[in-house]
Amino acid sequence: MSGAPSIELQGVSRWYGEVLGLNEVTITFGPGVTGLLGPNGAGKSTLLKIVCGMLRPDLGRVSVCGEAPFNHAAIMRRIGLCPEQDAVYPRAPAWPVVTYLTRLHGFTAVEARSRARHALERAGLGEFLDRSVAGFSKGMRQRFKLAQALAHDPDVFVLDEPLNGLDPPGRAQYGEVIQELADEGCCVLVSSHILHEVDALARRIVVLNAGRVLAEGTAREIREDLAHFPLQVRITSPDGRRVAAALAAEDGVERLERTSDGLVVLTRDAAALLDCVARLTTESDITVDAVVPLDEDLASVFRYLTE
Amino acid sequence: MTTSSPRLRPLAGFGPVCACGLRLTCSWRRLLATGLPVLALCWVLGDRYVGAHHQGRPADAWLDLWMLLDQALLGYLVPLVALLTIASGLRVEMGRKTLVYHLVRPVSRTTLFLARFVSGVLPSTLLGTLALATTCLASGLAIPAALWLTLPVTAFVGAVTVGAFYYTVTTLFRGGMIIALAYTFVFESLFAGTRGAMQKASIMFHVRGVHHGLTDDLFTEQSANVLAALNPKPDLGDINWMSVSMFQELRERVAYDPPATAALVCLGIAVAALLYGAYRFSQRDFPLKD
Repeated sequence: MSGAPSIELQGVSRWYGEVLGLNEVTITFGPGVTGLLGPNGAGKSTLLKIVCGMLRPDLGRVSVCGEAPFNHAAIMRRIGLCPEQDAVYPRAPAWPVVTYLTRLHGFTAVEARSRARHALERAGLGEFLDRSVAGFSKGMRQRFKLAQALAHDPDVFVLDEPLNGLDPPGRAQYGEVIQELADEGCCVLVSSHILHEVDALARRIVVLNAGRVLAEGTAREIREDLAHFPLQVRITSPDGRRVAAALAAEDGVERLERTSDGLVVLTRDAAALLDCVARLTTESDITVDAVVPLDEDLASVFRYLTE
Repeated sequence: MTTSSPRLRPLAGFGPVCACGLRLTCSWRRLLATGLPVLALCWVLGDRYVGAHHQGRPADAWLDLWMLLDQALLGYLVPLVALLTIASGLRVEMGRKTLVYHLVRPVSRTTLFLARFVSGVLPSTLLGTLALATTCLASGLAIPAALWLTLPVTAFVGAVTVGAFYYTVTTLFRGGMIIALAYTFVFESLFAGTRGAMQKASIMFHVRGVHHGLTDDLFTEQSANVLAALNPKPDLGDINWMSVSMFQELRERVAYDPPATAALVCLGIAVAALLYGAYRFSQRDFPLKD
């Protein structure tokens, strides 16, 4: 078992009957927060279940801290899973359940109780220790699931759609905990199909669709890798008509549209466009107030990648 | 970080998983829902059947009790109690998706499988014993102390043997409960009704073997009819009326193994079922989708 927390998938494929859940995924995750982004059915949960040893890959190899996780009890000491589904024991209060699950890591009853209490408090459930989990709201259940993943101090966290149902303050608090874990050197995988969640939580993003990794890196890096996709730029100028006429002759410009906010240009060559704008402002009396890229944000990247 | 987590021991987590399973099985709500109807049924059986006039054969309360314990209780009630208390252990966790919390703990799947089985055996034995005792009590007979002492043994052997089979079936197959019920009410009856050694294909045949080995001497002391039933001869015309099961004439009954042999066979069935179940459980994928 290696020291630093890491997850490695090499050529991993997984079928559900004739449906391909993951398709030859090769990727490595290290310390820090990585966001898994993709629409429903993209393969995010399948990937996370393979990482947690609940599913075996049909092809390829997966290792967590250097060990294959399937049916490998010892490696589970290092994994904290926040599952997607609302799995609760009816009528069981939060503290005893987290204590019980922590005891499965070999801690004594006293230590497990102490750890469970601390984890519940860290997850924001300090006031609800003795409340039945079945009576929790969706957001509180998310916190409960985080607490049971935290209590044994793992260094690999697998969080499947963890922010579903959380209110804005809850999201902020959850985000802080995730950031703390990353600062402690943990490897944190967060899946979501909601773009701004992943954008806010993770610096590194892996975009999945139809079981394949479409892109990985920061949102900006991913956008740069996609240079062949057209980029939208808004140019604000009092001489919009003249700017449009000048840009229309430029190579790479695919579309020009005048809007109330300015001129929206769709181009395949952002650098050439910027050169052209600079030339216009220096070589003529045209004034340009602002040039703003419109789709470097994650939503646009995601749209490009999945369409 | 992880260095604070103690090292993994063999059967690590067995105790907590077993205790958790016991708490879930022995919840008041569940005990009331399961135990009360079972005990009420046993009381009615013991009260109404034992000592009542049965057409075609002499009134003999001890013979009635002997047959009731053999057929109704060991044939159906003990298996049903095992089904209710043991079989659903992990299946319920799968249904609630709470199994996911166990699969990501440093507890081997084999340990998890065995611990949840063991947590079901105790309530099953307790309820089985109470069911047998309730029937004996309701019969109104002066039951010898030795017979009372055999009841927990019979209930335990029944719970372990048929419980292991049911537990494996329900854990591994989605329709396991249906399979187990079909086995109890269809296949057990068919096996018991067949001629010759085929009867030994029935799991409960061997449980009955243990029960009869322990109790038949006690019953024969009380009733000559029980003695006659245990030693059927074709020329004994006056006992031809009696059948050991619904379908089978007494003279076709295969002798039970001695109790020690029967207990060994029961143990073998339980071990084989549990080993197979644990192996399949440990090799299984758990998508656990909503």
